[in-house]
Amino acid sequence: MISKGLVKYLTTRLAFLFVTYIVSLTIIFILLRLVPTNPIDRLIAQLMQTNPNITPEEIRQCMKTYYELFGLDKPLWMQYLTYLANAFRGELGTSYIYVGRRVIDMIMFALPWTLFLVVPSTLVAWFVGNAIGAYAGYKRGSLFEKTVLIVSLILSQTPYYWLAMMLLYLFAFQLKIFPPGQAYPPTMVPKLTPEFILAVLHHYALPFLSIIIVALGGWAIGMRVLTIYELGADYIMFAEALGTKERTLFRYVFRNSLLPQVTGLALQLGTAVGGALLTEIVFSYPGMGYLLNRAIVQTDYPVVQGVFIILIATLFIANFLVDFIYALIDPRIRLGGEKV
Amino acid sequence: MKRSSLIVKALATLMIVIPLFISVAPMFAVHGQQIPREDTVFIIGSEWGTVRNMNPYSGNPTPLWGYAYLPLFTYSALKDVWIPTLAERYEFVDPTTIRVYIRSEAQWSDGVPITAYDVEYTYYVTQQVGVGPGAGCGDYVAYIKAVGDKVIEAKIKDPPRNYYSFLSCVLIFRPLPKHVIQPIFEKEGKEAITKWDNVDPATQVVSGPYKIYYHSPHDRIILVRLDNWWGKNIFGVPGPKYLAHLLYKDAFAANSALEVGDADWAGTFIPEVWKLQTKGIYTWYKNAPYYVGAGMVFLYLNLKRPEFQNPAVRLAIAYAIPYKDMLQKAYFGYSPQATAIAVNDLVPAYKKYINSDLCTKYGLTPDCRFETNLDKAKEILQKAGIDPTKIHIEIATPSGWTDWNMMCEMIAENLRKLGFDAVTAFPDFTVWWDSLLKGTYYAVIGWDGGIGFDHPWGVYRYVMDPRLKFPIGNWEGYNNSEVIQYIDAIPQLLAQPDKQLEYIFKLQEIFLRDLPAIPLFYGAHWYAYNTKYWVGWPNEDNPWWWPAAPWDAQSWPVLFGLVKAGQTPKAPEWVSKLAIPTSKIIEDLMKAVQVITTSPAPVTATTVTVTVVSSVTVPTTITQTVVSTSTVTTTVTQTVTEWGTAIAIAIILFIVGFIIGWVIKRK
Repeated sequence: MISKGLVKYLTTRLAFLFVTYIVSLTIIFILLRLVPTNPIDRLIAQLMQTNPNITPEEIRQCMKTYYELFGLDKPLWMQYLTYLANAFRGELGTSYIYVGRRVIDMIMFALPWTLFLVVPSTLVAWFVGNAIGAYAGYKRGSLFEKTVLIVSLILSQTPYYWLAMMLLYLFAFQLKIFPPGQAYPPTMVPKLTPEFILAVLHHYALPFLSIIIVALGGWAIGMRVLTIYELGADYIMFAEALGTKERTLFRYVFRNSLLPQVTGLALQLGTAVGGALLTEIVFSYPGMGYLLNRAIVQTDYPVVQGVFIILIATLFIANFLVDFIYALIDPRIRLGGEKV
Repeated sequence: MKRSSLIVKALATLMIVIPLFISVAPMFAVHGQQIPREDTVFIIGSEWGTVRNMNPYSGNPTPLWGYAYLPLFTYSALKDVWIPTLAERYEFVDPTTIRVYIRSEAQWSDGVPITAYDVEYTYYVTQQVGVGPGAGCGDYVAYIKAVGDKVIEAKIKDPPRNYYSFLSCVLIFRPLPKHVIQPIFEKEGKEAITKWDNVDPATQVVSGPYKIYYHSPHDRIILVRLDNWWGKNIFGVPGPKYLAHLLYKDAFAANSALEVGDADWAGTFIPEVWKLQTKGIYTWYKNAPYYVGAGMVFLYLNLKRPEFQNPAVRLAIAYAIPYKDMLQKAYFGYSPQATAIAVNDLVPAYKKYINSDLCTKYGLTPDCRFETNLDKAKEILQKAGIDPTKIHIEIATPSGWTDWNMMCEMIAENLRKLGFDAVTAFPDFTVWWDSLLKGTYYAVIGWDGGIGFDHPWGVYRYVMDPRLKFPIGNWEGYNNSEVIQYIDAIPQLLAQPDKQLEYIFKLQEIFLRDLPAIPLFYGAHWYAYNTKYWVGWPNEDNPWWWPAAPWDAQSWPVLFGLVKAGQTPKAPEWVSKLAIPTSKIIEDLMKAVQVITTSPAPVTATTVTVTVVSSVTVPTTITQTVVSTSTVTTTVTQTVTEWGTAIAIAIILFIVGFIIGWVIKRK
């Protein structure tokens, strides 16, 4: 049975979410329009450059048509209301620069590439990083621990786009082992065949590595500290005193230190939808970050808005779901236990 | 509790991630085969950021559109000839009316014949939408209509009775299949036809030898040859089976692809292009300037700023610019210095517009160029009583345009030697453009509208017409009503070449006297090709076709001359066999005029025109030939961003949010 308190709690949460959603949409709307330019300029400039013999009459016609088409001839408040209404209906509109292309299609192309890149690399970095960190923490004082600490510190502080460029320079331009960017080779068309999958993996290696190497350091450092802290706990001393086997002891420590790291992982995965912006740009990887970057550079408002709407909506829904499930399992969370 | 919450969070995240994966998985089930490298011409330099669609009603289709949709006639600027393409011939009914006959065998890729009704309807939709094939032609063309299945009739608008614009509007027209666009336009309206993307291989219907094969706006477009296209008995079939254009991060990445042989056909700026010759990569000329120079590039000073309103300041700056050094170092010698009167003298036919007497009178070299002379610049400033130290000048070009950025630096350095407070700025493109729109800039390097039949009148109109305003023309904001009479008269004086030339010289004199903008150099027509996989490319030694840049829609014949490396290329014979010289069109017009016995005033004028034009062979370097009358009023609606409203809304929403939150908390 769902109690009255729960209903009230959920209503409050929903109302709060609603307001937050509007506010964040508003911020994006305003931020985009603070840029001292408008998308039509970009389009017209592009037309003039690729079409040196365009006549003044044609430019004038185009500008007029575009202003009408995109609704930019309407007052700003009207544009804002249309935008809000569309955002709630999940209607992301069409791109300004790529006239006629639906934003949702653009996002749906980019999103799988991004998830394919970010989710596995985050998971792998998390597992490997934690394993190394835990072992280093367990072997405190050893040479292994000192090496891990120093290497991890350096890695975790390395700007990942810089590392990406170094990898690109070394493996793509010097050694020519890996291709210098994009998600699959120029001569291929995406389809599920062994050749295509192999080619994708070949292109995947460098961006994947560049994310893992940096993230790994951070996880290892955190895990090392947590392990050392855990080792000081009474139950470990007790277990040691009992003469528990080293492997069992390590397993206890590892498991117990892992808890905070799981939270970190959840947070990391939550932002995956946004993509690995700079990594994607360096490798011309066709994910969300690359899409967003392009859209911002070209002042393609609907695409930028679309990416953010998806991002915000995903985070909100995730948050809400988590809260909702909390509320179900833990009554204390429902508005301070009022009338439970 | 802690552990359970963590698991819940992780689960929630997975719940979001997994459906997303599933929802997009079908995208990878795209049909298709791997396209063989040796059967494909890879293009670079047309598409950046997103691959555009193939709908001309979007106003901004990919130039690859031109390989799938052919024009009635194709114009080669190099030879000044017209190739009847979809059309077989034309005929003048009277001096103001032309009929174009479409080839009987011409048919769309779905087997439907190409008719005059396609042309009529395509133009009709353009008129309704505002953009599309024949956009902007309404000022010169009274009507384009079908008078038979395969016969189109078009009438010139009089006034302005501008034959150049009229003929190019009608002859270079590219029709779309009426049976495809009509259902979209009539059922779904104007917005639907603008947003139509026309890149679905299943539904695309084309008139040319290529058709869409694969299109992804995020990374590539591939066209495939139609081996059985209707024109194969006339034009043959093009060499490459596939045409592909990938998106690259930037020009550097694209040029690297060309260098290693991943790309074949380049429309990009390539630094030190001569070094690539050892790798089998060539341009039009084997030696400097390597590229064919086309449109003019100017230094525009903002004439709304009082400090630049004195012509002496502009003249001094013109003398201070290190033209030779700058073009050699920043532009790799891809263009010579431009003439000071904005005439492109690389094209022999335009040399008659160079008036050495006028130029020397204004202190220029006999070939009408400014010499870099700082002493003279100082003298000019002194004579005019100008203190350059009080003048701040910031020369701006968009960031990343490295060649132009370097030119700015070199100009600024010389201006500082004169005493000017000169600096450079390389803002983001959009910021740069906005400063031009709002008129807040000091000085910029910028382009004009290119060159065509109307040269140099087209340049003068673009740079000096006070009725134009950025971005349509007149970037600098020159405001002299004296030029209007000449700008209006010159296109009407085709009948009287002496008078026309006299007026052109008058404009030149005003140009030199006031120097509204400083001509720097000719912008190159970027065209480079790699011979690793494909040979037969047109060039200076084998100039069978020009324009040849992949971004130029008139370049489609190039593909018919290509063969795989190792085979012997042969320029298509039909180019010379079908070619109709412009002079022939003028002769036919002349005959049409002579048929008219009773000749009212405008006809007399035309008769004279004809004699004139036939004596003047005008080879042009650029495809479209558009002379425009200056009756254009530039009323473009600019959205004024209403900050007040936006900020007010934002504040109100914030307050509402806080109140709701507060009320909830209080409860």
